Amino acid sequence: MEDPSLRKAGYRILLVEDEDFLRRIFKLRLAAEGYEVTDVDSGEAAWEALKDSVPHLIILDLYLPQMNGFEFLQRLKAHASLSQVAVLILSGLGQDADIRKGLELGAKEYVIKTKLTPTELLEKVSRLLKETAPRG
Amino acid sequence: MATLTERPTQKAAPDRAPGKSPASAFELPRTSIEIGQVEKQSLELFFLTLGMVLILTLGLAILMVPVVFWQRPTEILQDVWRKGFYGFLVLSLLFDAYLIQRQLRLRQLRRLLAQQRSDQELLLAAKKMDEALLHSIGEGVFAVDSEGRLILLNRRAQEWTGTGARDAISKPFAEVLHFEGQTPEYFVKQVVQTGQGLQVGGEAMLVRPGGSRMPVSILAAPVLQDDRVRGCIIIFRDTSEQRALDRMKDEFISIASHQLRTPLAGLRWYTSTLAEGIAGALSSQQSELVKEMENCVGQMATLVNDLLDVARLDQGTLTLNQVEIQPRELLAEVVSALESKAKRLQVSLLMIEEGSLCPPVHADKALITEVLRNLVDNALKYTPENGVVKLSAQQEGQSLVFSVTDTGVGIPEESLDKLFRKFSRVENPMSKRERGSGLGLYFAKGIVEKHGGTICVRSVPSQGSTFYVKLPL
Repeated sequence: MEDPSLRKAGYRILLVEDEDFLRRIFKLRLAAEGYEVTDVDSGEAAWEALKDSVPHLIILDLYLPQMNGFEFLQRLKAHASLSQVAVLILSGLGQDADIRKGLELGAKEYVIKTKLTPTELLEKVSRLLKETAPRG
Repeated sequence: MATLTERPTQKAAPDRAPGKSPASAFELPRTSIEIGQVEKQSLELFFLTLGMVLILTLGLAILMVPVVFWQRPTEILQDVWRKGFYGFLVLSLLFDAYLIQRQLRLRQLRRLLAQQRSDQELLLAAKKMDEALLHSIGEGVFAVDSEGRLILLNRRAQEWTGTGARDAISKPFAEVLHFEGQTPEYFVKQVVQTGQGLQVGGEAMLVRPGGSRMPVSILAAPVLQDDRVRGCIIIFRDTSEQRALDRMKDEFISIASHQLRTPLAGLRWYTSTLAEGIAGALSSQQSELVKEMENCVGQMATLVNDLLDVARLDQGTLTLNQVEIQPRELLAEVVSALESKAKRLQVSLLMIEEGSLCPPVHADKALITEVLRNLVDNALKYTPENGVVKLSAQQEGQSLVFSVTDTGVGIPEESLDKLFRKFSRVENPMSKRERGSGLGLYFAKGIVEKHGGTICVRSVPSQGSTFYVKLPL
């Protein structure tokens, strides 16, 4: 039987999270699923990382120092060659205004950090990648 | 001679002619007997008495002539004189009776006048008190006639609009009050036409004389007189403070929820990673302990999420982000999110393909997914091993019905009506498996109703339950 992680290998994910303990565990779980993960702790660092490699999915926190998640998303969607990159917002902010703003700015999904179990979130990531960056 | 007629003191003001200031329609009624009128009556009576005394004296003098000059009056003259004298006596008596009657009437009128003066003073005092009360109200009060012209504005309203009452009265309402967005004529017209009160929420912005904006809530009610709508009374409340408090509360909830969720998410992911053996294999005892931890963290996360969701719902700030959704997509997402849990609990989770025939529904994807996820999660929780949970969607007329059916323990009939209330929990052996917050179904009901839909349940104890979510198409 095929190892599910092999199906996920080759998908690049850029993880933007400023809390070290969360970034570490998210990266561990995503890597365990077989994804190629680049992790950064700020919007600026994420922008820099995009110059090296364009990911299939960006998992984006909103509460970030200096350039916050909304500003990063706005900049990304305004960029000609990066606007098509799928973004999943994973945030502790759960007010309607935040959710609406995130989706209006072009995020594919808005997930509140405690709403989904790790398994549910990993399922969502997998489904989102299949939808937005299908591989033959 | 002027006739005295008593007009009633309380009489409905007549309708005003078009174009004439309607302010007097709401004035106090005037006293009917004027002071000058009674004085005139007294003067008339005085001259009448004087005139009559002169005429009678002259008549008597004429009658006395034969007696004085002719010393021996003829019989005819004597007869004339006698008759004249009796006539004079009768006339005098009649005149006296008339004078007495007039005096009595005049005294009665004076008493009435004194009473009316006192009533007038009372009315004036009451009017002054009403004005003092009106001007002391801390909210802006305006009244307009049926054509939208101002007939009253209290001191606060004058201050907010920067217009004195003298300049504003009779002017069209919209010339004195300036709004951002909605025009004031809209609700005045509506109130006057329907005769029903109207409340405009905290969205309205009053533009003040210096150009500054003031958020206001507006309450408009019809002015009824003799069962007819004569105008509209409008009360404006400054909601700046309320808005600032709401903003502070929102910010507090937003930050507090973020601060709560961050470590909680960490706990959840770390315990889950340990439990899954990703960080290395655990002994059976360690595994059991970590599973318990994972369960506790899950319950805490559910409680925090549900409390914050209910706070959003109860605040009334929750707005729907409605888009066209394919029902099948929703079902697939919910099943995909919970199939691992179903597998772990050894319950079959099925998606009924009826959804493929359903037309798209206009709904908030995230919130309806949350509702269905909640219902399926509950169904899994209350279904024993080897049971089945089915999630389906089908069109019923102009509605789309999602249903979640389980073969679980069912819900006792006495618990059905309180199921959708806050902190309602049905106790049964299965509920110990995973304790809920008691808020999930309350939130689900609130969300479905916000979409204009309904949620209900049918249950047979020991056989299972079906929850129905009906959304308009």
